[in-house]
Amino acid sequence: MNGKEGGHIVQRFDAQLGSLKDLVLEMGRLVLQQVRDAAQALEEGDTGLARQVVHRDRDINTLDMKGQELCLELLATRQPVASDLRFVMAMSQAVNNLERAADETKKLGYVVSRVYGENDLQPIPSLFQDARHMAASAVELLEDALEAVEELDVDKAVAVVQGDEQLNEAFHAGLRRLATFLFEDPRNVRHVIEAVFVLKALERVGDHATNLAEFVIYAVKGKDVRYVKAEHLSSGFLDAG
Amino acid sequence: MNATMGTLSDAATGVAGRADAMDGLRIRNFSGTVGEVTVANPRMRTRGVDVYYGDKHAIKNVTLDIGSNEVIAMIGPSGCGKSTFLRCLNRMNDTVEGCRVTGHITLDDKDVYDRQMDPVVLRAQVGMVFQKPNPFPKPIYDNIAYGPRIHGIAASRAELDEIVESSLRRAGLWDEVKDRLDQPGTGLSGGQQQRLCIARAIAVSPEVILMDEPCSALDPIATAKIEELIDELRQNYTICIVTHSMQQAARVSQRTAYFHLGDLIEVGETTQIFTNPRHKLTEDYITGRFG
Repeated sequence: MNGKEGGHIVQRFDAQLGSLKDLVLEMGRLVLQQVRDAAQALEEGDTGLARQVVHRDRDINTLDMKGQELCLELLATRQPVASDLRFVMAMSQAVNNLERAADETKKLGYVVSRVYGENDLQPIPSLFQDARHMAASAVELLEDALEAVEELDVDKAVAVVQGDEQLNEAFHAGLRRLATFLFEDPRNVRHVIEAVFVLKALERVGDHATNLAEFVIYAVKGKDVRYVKAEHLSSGFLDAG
Repeated sequence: MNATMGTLSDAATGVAGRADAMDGLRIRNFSGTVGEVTVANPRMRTRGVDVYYGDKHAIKNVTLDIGSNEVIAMIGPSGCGKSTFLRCLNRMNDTVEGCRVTGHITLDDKDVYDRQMDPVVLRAQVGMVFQKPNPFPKPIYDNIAYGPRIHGIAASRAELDEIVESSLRRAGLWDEVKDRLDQPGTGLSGGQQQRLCIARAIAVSPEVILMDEPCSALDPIATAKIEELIDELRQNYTICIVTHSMQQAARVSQRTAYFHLGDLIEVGETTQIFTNPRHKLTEDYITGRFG
């Protein structure tokens, strides 16, 4: 089942749609763990954990390929239309976005390895103080987005889209602080660049969570809201013909 | 003839529900169809059409415009009334015992069911192609020439030759049959026979071509040729096609109408119907949840 009431006459079709959703959720849980572990590695300067994050990206790439194959199979063999077509397209995009979110966590892993694993670079943990809050926000957004996918819940999806605004604000505030730090002591430029990478990666995880939520809205309501401002996503707007 | 049509004044009176005015015609009551039933450039208009086979109410208060140079697909489960509705458009139901048609149907603002309307002339203007190819057991040439002859369209043999050739060309069949016009039409393949039937309909210069499951007896290659032909014919004709193939409806039509138990449930742009239908019954049917 893809979460809608009333199954298809062809039950195998429901099973295929269900498998696709299960794969997206499984992939989502792995990415969520990647974000948590990458944030923890950064927090604790744990290069071993960072290496694990980088290594596990392969598992997510495998799921990415499997997900796209499932979508292709559904399109070729079932020729889905209406809500089924939207669902398959949305899940294809979800798979793509989760893979890209995982790539961001891999970047975090590399930063940890460079900052804490190289002798010539003395770590400055205080530079990553914004990353801690942003990582928590990104995890929360991704969790909510995955719940929205699981339940095909438009209200939750809208909340994710609107919640991403705060993460973006935190990102810009973090950049301003790093700029100030750099002005104060330009010798720390390498550290600051690494910290920018971290903030940008976490901000992108939030963007991918938002994309997931937007595709849930598309799957359920048939509305492409990617270019609609978050504050305009009222139920009246989504239900208008 | 058992078909009877109500007058406009009949249509406006004695009816429960919301009376509505549309394009100057009073229709009997609001049918509840989701989507835009009217178009800016209608070739045919139906208003409050009901069809009864004896006691069976086969079509219920259907109001729908058929736009010029558009392909409109009628879809729905068996027995939903889509073929019945199609057959109202050129009065094919006249010949059905016990069939009664009420409401209003016009072709270019002329009442299709007017007493003055000659059904034979109407069926030249609104041609029909059936599920099973039905060429006459005559030479290919005569299959095409028959209509122009009985309608007195050609003044000379040369003119008739011209009509036969142009009709077969438009139907994409000329190159395949030009060297055997004297051979029976029934000797052609199924797909060629169907294109011959389309050429036969074209030969009498129709405005509208009705197609009732024209590809259901054809293989995918012959089906593709007919679908390509439908797309070309749209430049010059208005086409209404009944099909059980959702993919075919999606491929060939610009508008799609969904019928269910005699009601016109939803009509809209084909892309909208197949990506985001507004009525649950449409959604359930096209996604295969109907049952």
